[in-house]
Amino acid sequence: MAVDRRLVLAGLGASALIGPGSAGATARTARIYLTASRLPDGRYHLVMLNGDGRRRAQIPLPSRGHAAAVSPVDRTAVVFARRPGAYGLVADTRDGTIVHRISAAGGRHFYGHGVFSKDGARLYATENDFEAGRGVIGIYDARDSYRRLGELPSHGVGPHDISLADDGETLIVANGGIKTHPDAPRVKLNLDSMQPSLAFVRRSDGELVDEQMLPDGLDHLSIRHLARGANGHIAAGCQAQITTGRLDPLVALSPGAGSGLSVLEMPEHTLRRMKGYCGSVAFDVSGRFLAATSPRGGIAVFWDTLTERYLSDVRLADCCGVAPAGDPGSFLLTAGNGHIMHVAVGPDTLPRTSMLRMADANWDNHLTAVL
Amino acid sequence: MLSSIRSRRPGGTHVLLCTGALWLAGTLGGPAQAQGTGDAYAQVNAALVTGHVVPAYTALNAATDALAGVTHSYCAGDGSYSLDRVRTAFRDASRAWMGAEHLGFGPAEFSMRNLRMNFWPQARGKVHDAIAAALAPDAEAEAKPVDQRSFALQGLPAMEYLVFASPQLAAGTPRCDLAVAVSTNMQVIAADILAEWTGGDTPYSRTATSAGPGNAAYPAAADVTLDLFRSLHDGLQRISALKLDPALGKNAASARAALAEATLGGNGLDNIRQNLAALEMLYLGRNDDGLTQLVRMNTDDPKLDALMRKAFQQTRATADSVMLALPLAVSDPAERPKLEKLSTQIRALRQISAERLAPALKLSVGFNSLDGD
Repeated sequence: MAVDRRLVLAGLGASALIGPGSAGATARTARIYLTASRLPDGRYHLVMLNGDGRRRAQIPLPSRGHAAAVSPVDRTAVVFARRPGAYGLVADTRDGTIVHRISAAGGRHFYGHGVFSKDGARLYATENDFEAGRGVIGIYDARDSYRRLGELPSHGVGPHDISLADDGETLIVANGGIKTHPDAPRVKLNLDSMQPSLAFVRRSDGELVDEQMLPDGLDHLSIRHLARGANGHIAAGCQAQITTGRLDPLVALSPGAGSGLSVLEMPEHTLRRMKGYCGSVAFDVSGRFLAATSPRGGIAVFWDTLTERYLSDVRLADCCGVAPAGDPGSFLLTAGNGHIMHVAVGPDTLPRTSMLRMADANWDNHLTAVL
Repeated sequence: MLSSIRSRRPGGTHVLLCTGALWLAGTLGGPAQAQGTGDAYAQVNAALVTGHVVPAYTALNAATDALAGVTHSYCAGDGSYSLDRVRTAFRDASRAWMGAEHLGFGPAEFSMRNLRMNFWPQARGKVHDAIAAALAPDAEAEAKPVDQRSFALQGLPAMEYLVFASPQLAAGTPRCDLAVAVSTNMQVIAADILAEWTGGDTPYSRTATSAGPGNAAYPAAADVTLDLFRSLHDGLQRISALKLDPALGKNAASARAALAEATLGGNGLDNIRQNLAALEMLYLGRNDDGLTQLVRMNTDDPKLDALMRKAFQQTRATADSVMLALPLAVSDPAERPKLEKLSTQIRALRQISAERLAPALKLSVGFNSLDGD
């Protein structure tokens, strides 16, 4: 497999710790974040950001990217092409180089997200078997040039986001329930028969350990995105595929396999503002606070999952990317207009926001923290 | 507050209940995103609702009404109408839908009426299968009304199949009975959309023209304009992504004529022309009072209005210049370049809409909100 050692742009490696010297600021700035983006020249890149929103490195992508998976052992990241994608690029986030390119297997397309095993040895990617109209999870050997070892069923249609449960053995897949074909990737072919699900799949043999659905009457909500908190809870972000005239919830919470998926309540006028579309979800570092974004509404909303109490919202036009910042209750938000905002929420306080950057870039759907 | 939880394990389905969440009695954020003057938005919204939206659904209602009537008479065998007349009525209904297809909000979206009217492109062979199932010998015993069956059986693609595919539609046959049922379903969908826009205690036209605090659907007039803008943007995207580019392929060798819309009746190109005419109408308005009005008020981008007008004019002229039906034109040496030009022009129009029109309208739409995943 080709190894591309292109080293790109400024500040690589040397200047990760930039910013004010307070303890909070240090926690904020010491982290690294990854996001796909479009830069002013119209080209797509994977951009590495410091915790203060400064650009640390950028890696050209062959086409629009979507989300990155980060290895828990060595800061290797894989960014996947936007659905339906032909590539996954493996980058070394320590020096901003591309070390491998993974090509989609025959008859398969990447579907935007992936996750590493706890030991970093395996990469699991959501993929679409478009001829059979079923979702699969591709298995790649991270220690052998990302050789494709096989695949597991996603136990649903249109898998998108994927996460790994605390046990390290159970993959959690957001099956959006929407059938598409690569000839017309934005065309949804089965809106009259959607069956979205949160599937818990054993990674050793593909067995379906548990399958959680939204409450009755919400099958037109596609479960698209996931976040797993430090306490093992899983948040699911949904997108309404059909307008019913009702106001449907967009974020649901599951304590894990063997439990159930319950919708998180929020004020009606705020939910209305989300315009039926949740773009990303993320827990803070403590696993207690949950954020969800809606670029269509230009809004990020927050819950205290300990009490399941809705907290507040923050307005940021076209915001979609969200990731935990260093401190409990804090998040970084990125927006399509280039804005990067730090938000801190708490159970009894108003959210504190600080605009970190107004960059000349379009930050794409997801922001991933490299821990 | 209770929220139900559903968990389906491999061993079966069970329903749990648990206590749900409480929330703060209000949010902490600011007011809605409306920028610019609400009056200007409201004026344009009103002009487009009365001059574009309602006329489009009125025309659809009349055309589907005529189609249902003609189909009913033909299938009753009363000799009033020929099959050609049924086909003409189908084409008229199809054209009328293409004049309203881009309006992806409000009553057309409720109950999935837009999808039921034109469930296309559907999964491979779905219309054929749905019709075969509806006409199967044992279907009568468990027959359900068309509006409760597959979307593939409910609208234009099914009607096109029945009217144009072999065997030829003949009076007094189960196939003709099905055509009557499908055309009647289309008539009902169109009538319901029009009725909800214009009738009842709270017609949607009033909802869309009375934005403001207390209006749950539209807290600000800009929210209505945003729906109209999205209709324009997404309408352009729909033509590229669904109607033209898949059939065009990357080159003549990879053209796939079968992926064109409405291949049986040969309406694919006409559909695109009608879509473009409707989108231009949305921009211009009936009396130059559409989105153009807001663009002309904006001093930041003084050349945009002329550019939009020229772009629509040239794109429509290109569509009009194609001399063959779409499935033939995609691989014809003389006609294919025109389609490639059309594809480029539609893409350019969409790009201008996203990158210049939205800012000129002072609407908060962007990279992620227009095209997320």
